[in-house]
Amino acid sequence: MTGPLVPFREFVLKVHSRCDLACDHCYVYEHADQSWLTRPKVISDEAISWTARRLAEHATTHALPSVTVILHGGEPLLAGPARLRRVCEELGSALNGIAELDLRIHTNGVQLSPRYLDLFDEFHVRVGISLDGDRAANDRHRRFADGRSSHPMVLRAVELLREERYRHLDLGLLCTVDIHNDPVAVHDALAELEPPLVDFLLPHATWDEPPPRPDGSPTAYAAWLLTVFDRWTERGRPMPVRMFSSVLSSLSGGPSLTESLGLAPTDLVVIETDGTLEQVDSLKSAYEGAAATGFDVFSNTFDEVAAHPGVRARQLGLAGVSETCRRCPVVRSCGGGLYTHRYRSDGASGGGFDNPSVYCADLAALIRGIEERTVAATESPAVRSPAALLAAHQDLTRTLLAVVHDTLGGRGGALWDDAWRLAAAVEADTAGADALDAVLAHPYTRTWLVDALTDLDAGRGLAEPAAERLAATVAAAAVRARLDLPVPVAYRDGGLHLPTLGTVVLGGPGERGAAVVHPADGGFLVRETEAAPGTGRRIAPDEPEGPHWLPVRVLRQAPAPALLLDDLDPLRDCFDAPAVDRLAAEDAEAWAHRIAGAWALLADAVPDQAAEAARTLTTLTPLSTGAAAPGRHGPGALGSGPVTGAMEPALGLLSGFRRAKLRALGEVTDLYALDGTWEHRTPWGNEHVTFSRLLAETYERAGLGLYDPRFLTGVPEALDMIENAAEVTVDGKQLIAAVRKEISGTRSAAGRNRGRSLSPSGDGAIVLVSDRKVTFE
Amino acid sequence: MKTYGTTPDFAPAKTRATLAATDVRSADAVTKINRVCGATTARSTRISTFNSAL
Ligand code: SF4
Repeated sequence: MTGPLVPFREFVLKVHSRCDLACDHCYVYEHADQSWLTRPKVISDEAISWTARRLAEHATTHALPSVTVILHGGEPLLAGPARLRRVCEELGSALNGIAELDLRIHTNGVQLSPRYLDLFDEFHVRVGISLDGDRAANDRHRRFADGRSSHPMVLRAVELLREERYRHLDLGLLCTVDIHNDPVAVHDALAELEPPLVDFLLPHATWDEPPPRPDGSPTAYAAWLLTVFDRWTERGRPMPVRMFSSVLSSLSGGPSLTESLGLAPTDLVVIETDGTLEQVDSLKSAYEGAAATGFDVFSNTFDEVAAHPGVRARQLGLAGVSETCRRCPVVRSCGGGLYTHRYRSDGASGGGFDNPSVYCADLAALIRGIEERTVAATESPAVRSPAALLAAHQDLTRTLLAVVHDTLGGRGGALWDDAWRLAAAVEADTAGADALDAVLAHPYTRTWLVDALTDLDAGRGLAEPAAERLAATVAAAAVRARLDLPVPVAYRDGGLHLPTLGTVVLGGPGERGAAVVHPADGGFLVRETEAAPGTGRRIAPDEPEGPHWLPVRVLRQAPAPALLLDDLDPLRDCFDAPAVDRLAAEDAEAWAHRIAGAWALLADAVPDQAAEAARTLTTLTPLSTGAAAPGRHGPGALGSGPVTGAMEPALGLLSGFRRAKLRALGEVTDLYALDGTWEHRTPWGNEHVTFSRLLAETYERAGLGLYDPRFLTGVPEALDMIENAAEVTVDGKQLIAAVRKEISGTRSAAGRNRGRSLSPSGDGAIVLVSDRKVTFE
Repeated sequence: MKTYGTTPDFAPAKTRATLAATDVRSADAVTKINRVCGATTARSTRISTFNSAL
């Protein structure tokens, strides 16, 4: 087994091995592994000390910011307050100054009293309680050995934990499912207690000992849980439910949130009362010794356990699930279910865990059921609405700027601090806020902020030009909004670039200095800090190009929309091909011409695409070579090499626009997850590609197919593949639905574009991107 | 040639927070940033995944 060792972050510490209840569904006592019978009842002093030592060692080795220790049992409260205090003290002092200690305890609640809760308050041990629902449900299994109900005592414990003085320790309720119980009554009984979190556990079962299915339905557990889900939704989701949150998270492309679902590597280990180290102990319901590793805290490090093949098997993500699961469309959410539930003694390969879950049909139905019920509410509006997409990007850019400022923590220097303060002044004015939005929406703002944050995260500090860019951004906004607000700036290499406006030439190459930009008469005045008062360069609002001012040109040639031809921004060199220097005026005119010609073709052939492009494209940057393509920047820009004729730029623009749109979507929502885990065969190239590439090629071809239907060959098949792939999220599916709608009328419109002949292959084919040629087959 | 004049078309952001009041620490903010910036120092708190406890 390969791959780096995954450090443990969660440690289940068995402090007592017996229980005061005799629940007939408990895996510890009622299942195959009876090793508890030979273990000491209570954890020993020696085991506590060694556990603390090993924890500190593990946290140090892996520089873990925090570790979670869950005190468990049996029933951990049976260890008594003195023993529990010792555990808390030893763990706390061992980890002091090394890692944060997140201590938790999980109890049946029977013994929970202020005596314990005061102790837990002192050490901030948070408490979870097992409760199976209403009284009838709870009494079905949670009884004392003599048959008495534990329900009144558990309710008392829950009430105590809900008191003001202990509420901050409340973790919530854990409910084991029994489909004989009324799901609505169970939900309501739990919700009534206002727990901060609830989770539902499927009863322990394996293929050898399948769960009871009284009515024979293969999806009885899914039906039960979905009834709870519906009730929960109807009641306005009164509390988070870990199982539901996990499915919702993974459906949207996020991680799973519990070991019983999804492909996240398991990073937990169990320490028994005698100091032996085991894998998660639900394995005990599989077979005797299933959880054993042969290691203990006295002679082994946690790293040794982490390298154990049984532990590693559960950290392999997709490689760690059965062949059937690997090909299952819901595997990202399901992950083959809880490891234990996969066990069968008579499997094809001689028994083991290489099987789908014994709850397979239930899990698939549960995940699909939750998806169907929530799809409309969880979809990002950005996928269908170009305006929402831009709004999401504006929010992202502002968040990035705020995060850079926060990360700097006052170490950004005087220029940064002044500019940040002035940004607030600009924002306080309505026109100023709009102007700042416009400058922040300039695509290269994103390039600046992403690079700055990457540098800060890598510990490289803020580069000087990055600090200067904030000042220039605020100055540009002040000028656009005509605010009477002087903004200190810095120039370098002889030029001060105000994004979206232009470059003021203040000196020769290599010269740098400080200056102040003062908006005036619709234009602005730039005065170097050293210069005498009354001097400075005045730039009028329609100042023509001259030795001291290079404006960012705006292309305005109908039917193309107004577009910045940005050949000045120092950050524009963020495309695959190098950006060229400032264009001569006649070259800029030629650009305007070509774009207008291409736009006329697009507006005629693909009016919807052209209209959306007109609303979202703001900036064109001339490159030395290549067709229109997006680079590393915010939405709204395309870079392009010199092109001739109108046909090629029309298709090139359309292709560039499609790729820019897909990229922009992927930056504000998750269209897929775990890209690269599976291989897909493209219907056109017969090539094995990753999901992201299949999606990119399909999206681009569908867009080009609107212009020329020959590009649609294979697209419907590809859309089907994408929809059934494990990687796709709800937003990915939403996008596919939108593409289907886009191309649905295309076949009938095919005749329209037949005149725009493109050679079906070879010389005339449009080279859309260097590494991903889209050509006709 | 007019020097400036293009403003992108935004959905009206009605109750937008100021830059200073922008959420930079929540899990939501971290998710947003992580989509465009590989790994950041910001970390959201982990929840326990052990099935038999909360
Ligand atoms: S639903 Fe079944 S096949 Fe799919 S991942 Fe889960 S256990 Fe495996």
